[in-house]
Amino acid sequence: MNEIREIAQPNPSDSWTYSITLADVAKKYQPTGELSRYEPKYEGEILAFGRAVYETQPQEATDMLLRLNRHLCYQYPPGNLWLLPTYERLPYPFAVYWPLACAFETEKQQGRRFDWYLWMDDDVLAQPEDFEAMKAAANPHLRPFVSALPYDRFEPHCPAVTEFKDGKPRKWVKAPASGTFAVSHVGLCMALFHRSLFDLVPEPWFGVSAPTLNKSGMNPDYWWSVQMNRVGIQPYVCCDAKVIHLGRKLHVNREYSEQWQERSPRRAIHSDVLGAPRETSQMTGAETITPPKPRNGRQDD
Amino acid sequence: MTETVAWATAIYEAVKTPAWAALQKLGFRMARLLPEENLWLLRAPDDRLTYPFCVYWFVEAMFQREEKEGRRADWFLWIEDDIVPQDDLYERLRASADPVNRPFVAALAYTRTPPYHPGIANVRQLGEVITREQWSVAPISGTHPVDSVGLCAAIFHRSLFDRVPQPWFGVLPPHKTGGMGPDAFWCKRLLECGIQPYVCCDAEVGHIGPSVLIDRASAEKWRARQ
Repeated sequence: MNEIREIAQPNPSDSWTYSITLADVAKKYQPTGELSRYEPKYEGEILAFGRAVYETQPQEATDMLLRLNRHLCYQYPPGNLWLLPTYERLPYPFAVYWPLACAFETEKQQGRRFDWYLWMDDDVLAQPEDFEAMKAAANPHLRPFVSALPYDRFEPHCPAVTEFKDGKPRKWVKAPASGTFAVSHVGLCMALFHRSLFDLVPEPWFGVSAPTLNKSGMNPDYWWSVQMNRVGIQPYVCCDAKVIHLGRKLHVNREYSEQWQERSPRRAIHSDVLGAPRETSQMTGAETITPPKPRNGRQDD
Repeated sequence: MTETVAWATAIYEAVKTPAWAALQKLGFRMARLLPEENLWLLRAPDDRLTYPFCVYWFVEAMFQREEKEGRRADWFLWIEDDIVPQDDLYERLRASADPVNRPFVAALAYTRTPPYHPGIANVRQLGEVITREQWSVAPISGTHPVDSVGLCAAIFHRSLFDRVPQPWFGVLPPHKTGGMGPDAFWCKRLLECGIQPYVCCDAEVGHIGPSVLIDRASAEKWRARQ
């Protein structure tokens, strides 16, 4: 653990967000109860589901969220699945704290504690199977924190996972195909936190430290792993939870178009266009083809 | 036998927080009412599909799901992406709808631009001239027959897609006889087939309007009113 402190310990002078706690956020932005508002009458595990959305979320994320939501509705009895609200236009680290503050507020209102906190970022696509894989890997005592395998949304799109070897950080560049592994740091694209962690891990749980010329900054994901490491709790990553991180939008121009047509492994799907006989237009000099018949663009439901 | 509902949420590119949070809550509620195999979430298209294509996409998605399942849906629930539905929207619409007598019922929504009237109109046709008279006040409650109602949120009985000939959702550009959105177009097609559209005033949904522009004048005006 000492090595981790030396390498990763947040420096209070880096940023004022170092000292932000749940109480600070709850004081400024009054937390509310969970949204589904079912009578708390059933025994059994309680899952609190929180997300941070700044103002809008991409279409694909909403689509997948509604599917995951439906799956969870059939897994948990009414009242045992807490749908936590999000606070519009709240930046990090407030955005992570606020849904959690709402989970604690719901605890107060209902006089009972949740068991697991499911966290999902707004640019992440997750299938019900991803949640089930994480849930199967998690354990209140042995694996109280399990994250899905996140990939960086920036190039070179490595897994957002670090492990330590002889006190030195080793960044993952290729993740194992399957299995759940103890690591030192992992991204928070989608993760399951056991409720006990919020008793065991000291605040601040989610900080942001600004990048400087000499070193990279720290986001709330990394910060949380650091805090867990400090109290000897091991983060885990579940490589069977294969969530998708929505990356930057493509910038489509001539160069991109021509490179894609030459090199993309998906060219074969578009052989009706790319494989069609080409003719150079006498009028414009452009290469032309006879337009192919329209295809059914639907994949499935 | 439990009914099957095919649920479509039209999304252009991004979903505002009040809308997706409300959709999630509506999903909670619907999942408590319908078994998993009877709640079909229709897959959204690649983004940026405009009217009238986006409505067609989901209807086609329902047809393909029917083919895959070897059974038909009973209801098609349609919600636009700038709508904040009530948690019990489906229950309210379904309670006022009927496969035979009220196969199409829309929720009450207000237009997203001034003067914010109910999205309901009386339509009169004299020769080739069509006149639309927008409702200025909607009844507090009840389900009412209308000539034209917005498609912000609506429930369609599956049989309508057999009974009403295509095209179902058209867009006519505005010109001297007035334009037409897919909402009015659909209602026109219903009436042509002798099917009455209805609006349910107990199912009132929020319509997310344009952002308020805040500057010195609007800020001072707002403060003066307080």
